[in-house]
Order: sequence, then C-alpha cells, then structure tokens
Amino acid sequence: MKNWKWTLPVGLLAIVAIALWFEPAFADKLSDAIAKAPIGDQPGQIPADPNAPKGFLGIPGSPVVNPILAFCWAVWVGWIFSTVGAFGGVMAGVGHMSVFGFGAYAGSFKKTAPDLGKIITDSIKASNQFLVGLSAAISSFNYLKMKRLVVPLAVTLGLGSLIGAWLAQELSAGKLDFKSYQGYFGLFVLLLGGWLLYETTPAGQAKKQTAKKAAKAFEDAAKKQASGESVDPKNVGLHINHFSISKCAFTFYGVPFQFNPLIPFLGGIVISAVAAFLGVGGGFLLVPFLTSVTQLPMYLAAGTSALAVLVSMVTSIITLLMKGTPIEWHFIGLEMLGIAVGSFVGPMTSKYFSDVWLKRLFIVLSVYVGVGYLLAGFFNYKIPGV
Amino acid sequence: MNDFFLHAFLALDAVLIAPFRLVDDARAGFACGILATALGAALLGRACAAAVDRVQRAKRNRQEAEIKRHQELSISALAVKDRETYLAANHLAQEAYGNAMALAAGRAAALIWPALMVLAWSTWRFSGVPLPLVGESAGPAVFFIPAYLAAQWGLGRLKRARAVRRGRTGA
Repeated sequence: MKNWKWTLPVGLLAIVAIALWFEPAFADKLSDAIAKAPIGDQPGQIPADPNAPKGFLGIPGSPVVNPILAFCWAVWVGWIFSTVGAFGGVMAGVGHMSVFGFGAYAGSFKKTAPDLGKIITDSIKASNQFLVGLSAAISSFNYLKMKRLVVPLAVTLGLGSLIGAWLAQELSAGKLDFKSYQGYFGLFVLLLGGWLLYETTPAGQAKKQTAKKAAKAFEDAAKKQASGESVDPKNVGLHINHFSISKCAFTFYGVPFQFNPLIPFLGGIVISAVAAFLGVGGGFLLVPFLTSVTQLPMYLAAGTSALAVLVSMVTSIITLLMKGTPIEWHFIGLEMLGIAVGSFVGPMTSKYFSDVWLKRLFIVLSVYVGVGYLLAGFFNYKIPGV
Repeated sequence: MNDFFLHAFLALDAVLIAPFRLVDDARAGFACGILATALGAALLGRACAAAVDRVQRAKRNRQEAEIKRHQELSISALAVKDRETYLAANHLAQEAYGNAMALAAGRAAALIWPALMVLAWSTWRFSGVPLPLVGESAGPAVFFIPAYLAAQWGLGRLKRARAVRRGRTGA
C-alpha cells in the first residue's frame, strides 16, 4: 500500500460518510423516543403545546442554548487547551452537562422516558467526542505523515483501539442513563486532577528535575567531548529483530529494547474504551503510555499512536452513528469556531499567567467538578454550581 | 438580538444557496453547489488555521524546539549506549509534545469548523428533499464529506506544488 499516508485517513473518513447514509434513521429513533415520553409541564415530560420552543436536538421544551454563551464557553475551552495543554475535553463536558443544562434535562427522563434520556446522553457524549477527539485525530495526523512509526506496534495498538472504541460504544450506546455517565465522568475528572496534583508535588517534580539534570549533564559532557563517539552506520535508526505474540525485540541506535506486544494491545483497548465511553480524547493518554511501556523515542511513539487515535476516533463516531445517535452539527461547528478563537487568544494572553498557578487553579476546579459529578451521578447529592 | 441572528442567518443562507442555483438543471446545480461549498469550507478553514498558526508561532516554535532538542539528545545518548539519559530526555520530549499537541488541536478546530457549519446548514436546507442517486435514503453529508476531503487534498497538493516552484525560483 504505497500511498497509505493519504489513502488511510481518506478511507476512514469515507467510511464516516457511508455511516452518515443512515442519517434519516436518527430522526426516526429520536421521534419514537419523544412519542413515548409522557405529556405535561413537569420535568421529565414533553410539553403538550406543539409550539413549545425546540432546543437541543429539536426536542420540544428542551434547553435552548444561547449561541453567544455556547461560543464564549468554547472560547474558554480553546483558551485552556492552548494555555495549559490539557483539560479541553473535561471543560467541553462541563459545558455540555452543567452550563448548557443538557445534563439536568437528560437526567429528568430517567424514570419517565428512559429511552429519550439515553439518546440525549449519547448525543452529549458524541458532541464531546467530536469536539476533542476530532481535533486530536487531525493534529496527530501530522505525526503520521512523518512516516515515523513502528508498523507491528501500530497494528497491535490500532487493533486494540478499534476493539476498545467499538466495545465501549456497543456496550453503552442506548443503554447508559445520564446519572451513571455523570458519575463515571466525575471519577475520570477526579483521577485527572489527582495526576496533575501529583505532578506539582515535590515527588512529581523530582522526577522531572532528575530527567533535566541527566539531560544537562549529558549535554555538557557532549560539548566537552566535541569529537564525540562515532556511531556504527549499521546501528542507525530502528531495527526490529524479533516479533511474536509475546515479544517484540528491536535495536535503536544499537541499544537493545524489548516489550510484550500484548501490553500495547490491551492498553489500546482500555484507553480507547475509556475515551469512547466518556467522550474525551484518548490522544493525550496514548503517547505517555507508549513511551513508558515500549520506551520508544518520542517521535516514533507520536507517529505510532497517531494511527491508533485516528482509528479509535473514527470507530467510535461510526458506532455511535450506526446506533442512531443524533448529532447537532451546527452546535459542534459553533463550538469548534469558539475553540479556534480560544486557541488564537491563548498564546496572546499566556504571558500574563503563571503556568504553575494555572495548573493549581485547574486542580482545584477538577477536584470540585469531579466530586460534584460523582456525588450527583452515583449518590444523587447536588453541590452548588455543578 | 434574535433579529440580528435571524438576519445574519438569512444572509448566510443566501450566500450558501447561490452556487446551487447557478445551473438550471437540479442535479447539476446540486453537484455545483456541493463542490463550491466544499471548496469554500476548505479554503476558509485553511485561512483560519493559518491565522491561528500565525499567532501561535512563537509558542509553537518554542515547544517544537524543546521537543527537537530533547529528541536529539535522547538519540545522542543512545549512540553512546547511555540508556538512563535516553529515557530522561525522552520523558522531557514527551512532555513538550503534550503542549505542542494541544496547540495543534486548536489549529485543527480552526481548520474544520466551516465544514461542520456547512454540514449543519445543508442538513437543514435539504431536509426532506430527495437527493440525486440516493433519494431520501441519505442526507447531503454523503456528498459533502467526500467533496470536502477532495477539496482539502487538492488544496494541499496545490500548496506543496507552489512551495516547490518557489524553491526552484529561489524566492
């Protein structure tokens, strides 16, 4: 497959186009669920008035989001993404669930019209997946174009991602009520906050400092030894010496490395399943996972994981569409524009903020949101502002 | 405020529907409209991505230089069989990569938002209208997405060809 670097993404996206063939089925599934919902003015009911304002997904009486608010929130998401380098998916999720009121609306149908509640939950998930995942997939694609990838590893990781994404959507689409989704999302946000907190602790900083010292010492030694040690041309680059179901052995610049291919395969399943289940981008988890498990150089890990990000993203979108999940294209388009504006503003304002303090602020925020969603989702206890 | 949005939407609708009405024949008009909106969305997306890239350039160059420096350092460490330094430099390169990736995600959002807007508009505009070849069994997205991908690919090739020509002329 000579031209894989463009035929692969085009092929994957063509499959999305084919999946969109089923688009008219969305409306049928949604109207059936609306028809089953009880009529009335209480939460969890559809208004009797046929002229009631139609908001999210065109459901009568659903929250009508002010486009300016949606846009401003997306600018905030884009600003965070470009300034802190994380939290985009989490903030997009908070917007959909809490700021726009889709969460409370989906939750209100838990007992009265569970099918409708599940469709709205899936749509919230898909909106998040589109916002964060699609951007991650496109930005990863540049690394894929560099052709720096380890093919056997890309295949095992990609296969794991495909299975994970498909499995998560297959098992949860149309079955997950909003409260459970909110609880799991809260748990994820809390874990992310915990990890960020660890990174700011002396123990977390020590690892980075040690790495910096080792790199610096080596750089200084290399400068002193201007001639340096010559590298055997036979050893340049990556050479795979052995590949089987339980062992992949390769040399990189003559240094032997080995890993068990089952680990990236299982890792691909877990990371893609979590990303697809929660509607957050898995891209930011795959590269650290790959570099720590296989000890591959960063460029090779980035190129290899790019394929897995693309595969898992497209798989979860197709699976959601095939399940008849309705998508609000204009809403996602408006949010994408907001993210673009936020990314435009981010670098202009970053000099006025301290990275460390921003990280601390988001740790506090993620702990609050995480705990709030956990309590609301699993224990039905609401804390203010969540 | 609502009036403003309504007028803005109607103006946008008039612009987007115009290429569909360029030709009298309905099928040819539809094909012409899909191709024109796909090309327009691709062009506008690329312009927005270029604007975001321009503002991000300093930060992006910093992050990418950081990645490159640590990446090269890790390779040099490997060359002299210093595994510990290799892993340390690799860890630092990976951290910078995370930040570069977040910046790239912003550029990606700038690139695709016009396509999503056109997709939303066309789904609303042609709702219930039987389309060429597929009738009512599919929406306009089936035509728009492949056309948009082709437009992006074509513009990419054009940009590369221009860069090569500039290189030859030494401009």
